[in-house]
Amino acid sequence: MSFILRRYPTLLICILMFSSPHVWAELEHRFSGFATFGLAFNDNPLLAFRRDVTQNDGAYKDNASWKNDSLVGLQWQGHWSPEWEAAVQLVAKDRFKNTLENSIEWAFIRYRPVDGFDVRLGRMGADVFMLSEYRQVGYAMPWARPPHDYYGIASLYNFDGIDMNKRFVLGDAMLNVKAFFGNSGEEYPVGFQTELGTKFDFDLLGLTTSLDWNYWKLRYTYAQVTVNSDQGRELRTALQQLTNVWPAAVEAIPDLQTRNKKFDYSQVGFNYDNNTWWLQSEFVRLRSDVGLVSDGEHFYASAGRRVGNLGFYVLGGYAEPQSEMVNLSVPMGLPAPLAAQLNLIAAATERSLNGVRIKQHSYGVGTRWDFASKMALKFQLEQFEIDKTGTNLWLRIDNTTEITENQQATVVSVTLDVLF
Amino acid sequence: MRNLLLMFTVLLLSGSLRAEILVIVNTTNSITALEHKQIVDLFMGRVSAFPNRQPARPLDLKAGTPLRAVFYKSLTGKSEAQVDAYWATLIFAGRMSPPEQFSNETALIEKVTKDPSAIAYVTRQSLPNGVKIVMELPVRE
Repeated sequence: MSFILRRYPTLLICILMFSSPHVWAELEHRFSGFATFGLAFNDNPLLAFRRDVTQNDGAYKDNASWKNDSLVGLQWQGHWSPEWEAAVQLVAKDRFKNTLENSIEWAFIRYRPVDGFDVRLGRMGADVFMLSEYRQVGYAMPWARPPHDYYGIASLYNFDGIDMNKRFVLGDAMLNVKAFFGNSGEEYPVGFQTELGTKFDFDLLGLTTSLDWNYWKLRYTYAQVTVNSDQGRELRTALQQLTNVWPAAVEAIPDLQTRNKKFDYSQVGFNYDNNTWWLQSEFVRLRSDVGLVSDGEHFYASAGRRVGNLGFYVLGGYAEPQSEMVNLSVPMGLPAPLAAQLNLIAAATERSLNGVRIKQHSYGVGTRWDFASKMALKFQLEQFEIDKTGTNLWLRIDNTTEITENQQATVVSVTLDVLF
Repeated sequence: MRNLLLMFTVLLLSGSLRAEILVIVNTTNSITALEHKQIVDLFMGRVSAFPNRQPARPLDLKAGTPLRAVFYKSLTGKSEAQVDAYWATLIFAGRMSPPEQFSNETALIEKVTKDPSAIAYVTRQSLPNGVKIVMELPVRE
């Protein structure tokens, strides 16, 4: 099933485009695009800043980075009739694994039998968070990038599958209910500037409801992810072999299993915008049965004011793990060589399970200047307080050295966002 | 002096009252009038059909055309940059295709005369056969 889902979007688009010349002739094309050129500065010498957990490089002390936020997106939309439409979006950016297949953000066909009901098939945005479907379009958001404490974990960019959206009109308000199902995958780098990664393949199932009423917008999402990949096998085997001398080792094994394990997101979001003042906030509780995906809650809130073509805002947020640190104690009185081996395995297990924890908070200010049509310049200043037990949104510059003290980082971002 | 002042006030008021934008559709469209909220829904990509369920295709002027900024400000209270940012959320999410854009009002009107599903906005003027007014939108500065 997963195999089919991951491969059919491109296939489907190709069949539609080339099999039927008369359809091609009736097609109306729309081309559009977006781009961001961004520079990030970070004063922390031990931890490199990254936009989210899919990046393996970023800014650190005396090394500004353009890779965190710079990208170019191109989109084609084809319109056959009021019912049928197709879209392909390509995004070029510094990716951990840069392939054409990974650069296809969207490739889907949409069927709208009646106004207010849509079915899409193909590759599309995983609509789990408020910014999910346009999180790479800098111009569409007030900040330099989606708030870090919250969107840093959000590695789900797209999925291959199906979604259905139904709109309900409730007096002056509009309620949209969307259900989605599909397959997705991501390879996460294991460290700073490394080529090594951990590959996850997962199935995604979710429901999103959003209510728009005058200046207000409210949304709730529940999404469940089932992991198909089998990660952590080496450590599980090693621990299994040691259960004779170290009976407690067996307790860590289930945490290192991933296949068929689940994690889920419960998200609430809120937005108020009266065209002068705006306020936006999101909260997500991530519950995880997978030891390699950290249980936690994430939150941000931001408020801003527009004055002519200038915008000013404040933002703040936190990420807090909801599970205990894993501590494995090796039995005493074992022969020295065995004890040393056990200590190594215990340390590797703890690193795997505790290394995914995220514990930090931040606050910042920023400004946006719409200096020309479809062009915006932003400046953002943020202060991050990162707990030594939860640095996973950052990359350790020296992978061999543990972070033993809580860290602080001042991150300055300058971005130029363009639509075309 | 007081009379002169009154005359000026009257002139100013009548001037501002006359400053209206016309929302137009093809004459074959069975819709005779649209409410403010229905126009907002159509031009902000919230709906893709007229209240009579016929497909609707809003037409737009190119970014930077003065009437475009005035139209969206009067309709939604949003600046052109806000409108572009809002539409970017719909377009790049793949929810809606961007409205077709024209460089001047003459081209807009011509398109409306040819397309039964079109809806567009123009400054108050005498209109050719083939289009009809469904709303007069007062200008908000």
